Amino acid sequence: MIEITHFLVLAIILFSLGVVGVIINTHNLIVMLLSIELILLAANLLFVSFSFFTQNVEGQMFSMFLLAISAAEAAIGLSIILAYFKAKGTISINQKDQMKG
Amino acid sequence: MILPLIVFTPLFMAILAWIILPHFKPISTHILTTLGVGFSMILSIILFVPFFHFVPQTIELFPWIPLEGYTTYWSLKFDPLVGVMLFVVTTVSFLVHVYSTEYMSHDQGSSRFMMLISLFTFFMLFLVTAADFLQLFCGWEGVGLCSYLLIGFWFHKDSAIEAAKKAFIVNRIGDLGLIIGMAVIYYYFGTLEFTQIFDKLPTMINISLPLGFSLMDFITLMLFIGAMGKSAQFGLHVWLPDAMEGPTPVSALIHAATMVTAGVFLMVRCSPLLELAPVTKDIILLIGSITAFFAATIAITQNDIKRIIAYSTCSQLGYMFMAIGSGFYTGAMFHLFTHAFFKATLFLGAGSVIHAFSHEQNIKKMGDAFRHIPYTYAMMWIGSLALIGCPPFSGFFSKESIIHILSHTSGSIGTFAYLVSLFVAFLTAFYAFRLIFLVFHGKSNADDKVVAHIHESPSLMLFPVIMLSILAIFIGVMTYRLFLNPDVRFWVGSHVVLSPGVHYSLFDPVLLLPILGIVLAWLIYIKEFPINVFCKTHLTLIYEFLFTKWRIDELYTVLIINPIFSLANILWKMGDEKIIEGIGPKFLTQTTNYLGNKIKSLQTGYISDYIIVIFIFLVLLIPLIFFGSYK
Repeated sequence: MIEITHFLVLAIILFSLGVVGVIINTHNLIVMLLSIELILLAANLLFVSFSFFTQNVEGQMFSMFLLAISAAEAAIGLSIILAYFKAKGTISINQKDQMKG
Repeated sequence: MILPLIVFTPLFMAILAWIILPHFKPISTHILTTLGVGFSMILSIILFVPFFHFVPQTIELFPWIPLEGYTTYWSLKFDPLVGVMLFVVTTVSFLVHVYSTEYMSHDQGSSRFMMLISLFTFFMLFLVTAADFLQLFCGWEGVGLCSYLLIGFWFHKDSAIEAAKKAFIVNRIGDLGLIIGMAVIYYYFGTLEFTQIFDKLPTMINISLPLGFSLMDFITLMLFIGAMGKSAQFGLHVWLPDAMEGPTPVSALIHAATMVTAGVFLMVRCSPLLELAPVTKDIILLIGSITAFFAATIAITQNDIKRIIAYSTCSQLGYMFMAIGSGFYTGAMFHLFTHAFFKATLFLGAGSVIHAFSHEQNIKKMGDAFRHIPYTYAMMWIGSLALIGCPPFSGFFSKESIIHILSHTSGSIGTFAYLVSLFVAFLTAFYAFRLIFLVFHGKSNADDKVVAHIHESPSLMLFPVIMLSILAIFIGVMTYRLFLNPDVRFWVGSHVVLSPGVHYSLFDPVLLLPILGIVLAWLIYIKEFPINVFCKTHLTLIYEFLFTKWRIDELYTVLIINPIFSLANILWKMGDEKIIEGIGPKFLTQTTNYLGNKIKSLQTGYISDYIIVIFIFLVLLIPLIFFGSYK
């Protein structure tokens, strides 16, 4: 029998994977974007599963909004990456002087 | 009403000249300032000449410092003493103004120059008409300031700037004495006004200060230190020869005729106090005789025409202080009076000589000029004869009277002063005629180019010198009764302490001394007896000592300037840089820098590092949501 706990554990694992992906990824902006998507999806999964187990449809509505937002975000992110690539010739973020204060 | 006009016209003209200076041609300021001082001069003569019936008065203009129980006023005082000074200052100043319009006409800053000497004239008049010490001090500082500005008039010359600074600083040392004297006077007398001080004198005679000073001795000694600075007495004289860096009219007006005699004026003004201070009088007598002697001995070895006359001024000021020290105040005033005219003659004559020799000042590089510049030659003769005290000239009356009084002065210092005055009379004649013989006679040592260019000065420069030389001839014989004969009652109302009259004799053996000096100068520099060469080769030590001006400057460098410099160095390196800056700004900035550097390493520039930090704090914040007051 699948319970809500399983969904929570899965969501936490997905979320942690996303965070770790953002943190340890130092080479590729696209990978970073994917990791952020993963974080969003983990949140999405929580919305859907709580909606299902509490018999409440509001959570599923929220998940639709979230999907739309993440799609828009992905589009903006990709276009930023494209512009970045055009300007720098690389999409590596391992450049020390880029954001040094 | 006439007195404020005399005093404030030069100031008004100086300000006017300053305002219009950028808009008009220089000639306008020349005319303006000269007319202003000329106006003052005419009014002064009107005051001075029908003098015998004039009522001494004080005009209070408006209150200055209202203190509890005592208010100082800006005021103008008039009495015989002031009248004499007004006459001297305005006359010499006017003639110097006229002279300068031509002498400075080729200088870029001639307007500034005229403005400054006009301003100087105002301050000098302000000084002598002061009714209290405070206003006198204002004028005193004002003339010091103008002297500084005018010595450094050619500010592109380093030597001029150095000389100006030297004059200013040395004068400050003297002024400290004057300020202390004023403070003590105010403390004991409760007033600074001359008349009130003199009225209160009888109650103050027996007061004594700690360390065994009597009050009068201390006050007058401090005032004398002030006078020493201004009047270039031995010890504080070092600025006067250097002040010759300024333009020649300045030397004539400020450093011969007027400002340097302010010290003598102050002493004569305070003569009732001095009469009660026997110790100070002895000190003044001693310092005066040392000054007269040392300056005369230096003058015989110098080669710069202006410096010779400057040392001569120093020496004559010594005579004046000798007269004051022996209680002969009227004689000091009389010598001040005649000296102003003949010394201004000499200086302006020297200016003409320098002008003729294309700005050459070394008398060894002149010679055989009397045919080319006959008028200047005659003026220099008149000035020199008056200086050495040749009978019909003005210097005779004043100097003879001082020597006469000194011969009656008791005490060992009195005897010393008398001998010095005799010897200096001889030296004076020697250096005055050494100058004349080297400049005007003998063979010419100048370049051919310079010789071809020797020319008499224009009439605008000759006129003042001729006027001054006429005064130098006749003023003595005209006024000696006025000054020195107590029966004439000239000094009534001025508080000046009088002394018995002096009788002149043309057969005084003292008169042989200047003649001896002239003969010696004639033998050496015309007949070319090699006495001077003998002195240079066989008495090298003495000659060097005199030629290097008694090594006073070197002595001060070693004794005062170097220790102050090393002390300042220590304070700078240790006190300021190490302690004050080390604890204050440097410590704070270094700590801030250090901490900033440490914190800076958090700011790596990696996005991932920032994200770690964000998540760490996010995780730390979660308990707050559950347990904090947020709930």
